[in-house]
Amino acid sequence: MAELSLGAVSARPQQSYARRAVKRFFKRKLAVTGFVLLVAMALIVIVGPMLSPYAYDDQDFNVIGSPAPMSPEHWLGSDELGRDALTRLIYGGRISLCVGLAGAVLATIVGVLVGAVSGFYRGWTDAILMRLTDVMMSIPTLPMILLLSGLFRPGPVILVAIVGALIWMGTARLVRSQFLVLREREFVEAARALGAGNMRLMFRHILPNAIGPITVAATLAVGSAIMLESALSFLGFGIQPPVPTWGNLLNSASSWLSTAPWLAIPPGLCILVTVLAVNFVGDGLRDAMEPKE
Amino acid sequence: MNENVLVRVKDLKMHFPIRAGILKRTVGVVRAVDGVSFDILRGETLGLVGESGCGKTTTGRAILRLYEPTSGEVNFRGNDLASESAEEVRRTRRHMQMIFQDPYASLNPQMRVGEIIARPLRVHKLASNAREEKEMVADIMQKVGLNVNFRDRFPHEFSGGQRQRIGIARALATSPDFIVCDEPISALDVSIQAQIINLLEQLREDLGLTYLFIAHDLSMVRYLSTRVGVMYLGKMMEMSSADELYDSPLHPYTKALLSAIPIPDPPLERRRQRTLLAGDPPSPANPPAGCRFSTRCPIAVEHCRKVEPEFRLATEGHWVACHLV
Repeated sequence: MAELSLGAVSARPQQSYARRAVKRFFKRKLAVTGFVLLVAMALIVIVGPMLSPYAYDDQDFNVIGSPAPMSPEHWLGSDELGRDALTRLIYGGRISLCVGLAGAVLATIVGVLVGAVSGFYRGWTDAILMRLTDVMMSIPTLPMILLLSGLFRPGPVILVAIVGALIWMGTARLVRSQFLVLREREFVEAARALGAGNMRLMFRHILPNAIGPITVAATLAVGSAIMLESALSFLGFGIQPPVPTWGNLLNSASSWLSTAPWLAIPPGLCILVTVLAVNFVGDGLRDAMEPKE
Repeated sequence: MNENVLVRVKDLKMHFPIRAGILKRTVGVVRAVDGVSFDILRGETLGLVGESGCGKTTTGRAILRLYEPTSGEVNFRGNDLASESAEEVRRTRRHMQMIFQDPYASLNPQMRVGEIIARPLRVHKLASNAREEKEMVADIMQKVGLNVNFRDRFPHEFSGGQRQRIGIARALATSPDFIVCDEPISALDVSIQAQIINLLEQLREDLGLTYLFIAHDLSMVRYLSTRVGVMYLGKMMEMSSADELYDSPLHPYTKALLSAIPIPDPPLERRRQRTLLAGDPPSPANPPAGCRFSTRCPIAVEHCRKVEPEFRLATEGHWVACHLV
C-alpha cells in the first residue's frame, strides 16, 4: 500500500487543542485583565500577611475606642478595637478566596458526577437525580442558610460544604445536557463496540469532550461561591470573628458607615473586583474553548 | 453447527418502542428488524443492501449487540451472544468489530490518532507494556496505509479517506475475526471510495477477515461481496451469491433495485428498462399485512396482501420471500 496520505496533511506545526485555546484566551483584553487581577489578588493574599507588621487580631492601643482614619501606621485606618484594617482586609481575602475556590471545586465535582450519571444512564436515574436538582434549586437560599446555621456552628469545612451544596445544580444540568448530546455521538458507540465499559465511556471518552463548558461553569462558580460566602459572613453565619473575611468585615463596618466609610469600602470593592474578574475570565474561557471544526 | 458458519442469525427482531405522554407509555413499536435469519460464512463478505430505513444498519448493530435485540438468536463462533452477560459480550467484542459510516463523527476529536488506535488494545489488555503497544499501533497504521509519523495528530487534521483508514485501523487493532462495515464508503468521495474498498478487500485476504458489508451502492456491493442479501422494511427479501443475484434476480423488489443502477455506457444506458416503484416504503411502525412489499409490488396479487410469504430456498443457495417465483 502506498503512503497516499503523505501529501494531504498540511505541514504546519501541530498545535494541541489546549494550546490553541490558551492562545485565543490571551487575545481578549477583558479576559486577560481579569486574569491579571486575579493573579495579583492571589499573590497579595498569599504574601501580604507575611509582610504586614501586624497580625489580624493585633490591637493598637493608641487608636482603640472608635475607628481611626488612614494614617502612615495604618494605611487603611483601623477599626474600633484598634486592629489594622489593611491587614484584616488581606487576611480576610485569603479566607474568602480559599472558601470561594474550595466551594466552587466541590460544587463542580458534585455537579459533574450528578450530571454525568444522569445524562449517561437516562431513564429513572436521570428522573430522580434531576428532580433532586430541581428541589435544590427551588429552595430559597437565605432561609436555608438560617436553618443550617442554627444546626451547625460553621467552621471553614462546613462553610465550604454549604457553599458547594448551594451552587452545584447549574453545573449538573449543564453536564447532563452535554452528556445527553455526546453519548449519541458515533465515536462513543465506536468505543462501546471496542468493548469499553460504562465508566471508561463516561470519563475517558465523553467527559474530555465536555471539558470546555465545564471549565467555564467552574470558573463562574468561583464567582458565585465568593459572593455566597460574603453574604453568609455578612449575615453572621459564615466564619466567625475575630477571624476576618470580606463578608464579616463588611458586616462589622456597616455600623460605622456614616462616620468611618473607609472601613466598608475596601472589602466591598474587593468582592466586586474579584467577582467581576472571575466573570471576565469565565467569559474569555467560554469564547476561547468554543468547540473546534 | 457447520464448521464454516461464523455468525448465525436466527429470527432476529429489533423493535423500538414509541413512547408518548408523561407516563412514557408505549403506544406502538417500530419494527426496524422483524425476524431475519441468515448465516455468515467464515472468510466471506456478505453484502446487505436495501433502501434507507429498511433495517440493515440496525441488523448490523444488533448482531454486535450494540442494541439489545428484542428477540432472536445471534450465534457467534458457536456462542449465543443474545444470552451472554454484558461482561461476556464486552470480552467477545475483541473478536467482532465495526467500521462506521461517518469518519468525521466516529473518531473522538480529543484523542490523538495513536491513542485512538491504542484504546482497544488497552481495553482488552493486549499489549504488555508501552513499547509493545507502540509497536502494535505502528504495525496497524502501516497495514492500513497511514504514515506512522502521524500518530500524534488529531483526527481533524486528516481528510475523509484518511480518517476512514483510522477507523479501519481501530477496528483491526484487536485482530478480530468479524467486522461489520456499516456503509464505510458512503461518506467519501468517489475516488477515495475505490481506495478504501481495495484496502478492505486486501485486508480481508491478508488477515482472513469476514465482513458483513452494509451499503446502498449496489455496484460496490457486487464487486466486494461473496453473497448478497436484500432487505425491505425489516425483512430479508432475497439472498444468494452475488453473481446470481445480479444476473438472475427472483424477487420483484430486487429487480426494481437492480434496474435503478445506471450503466456507464450511453447507448446501453438509453435502452435500460427501469422498473419504477411508486411511492415511499410504508412505515415500519405499521407494516402492511401479507407481504411487506405488496403495496408497491408491480406483480402483487390478492394472495400477497393476505399471506406473508416464507423466506424459502428457491434454487441451490438462493433464498427468496415471494409467492410468485
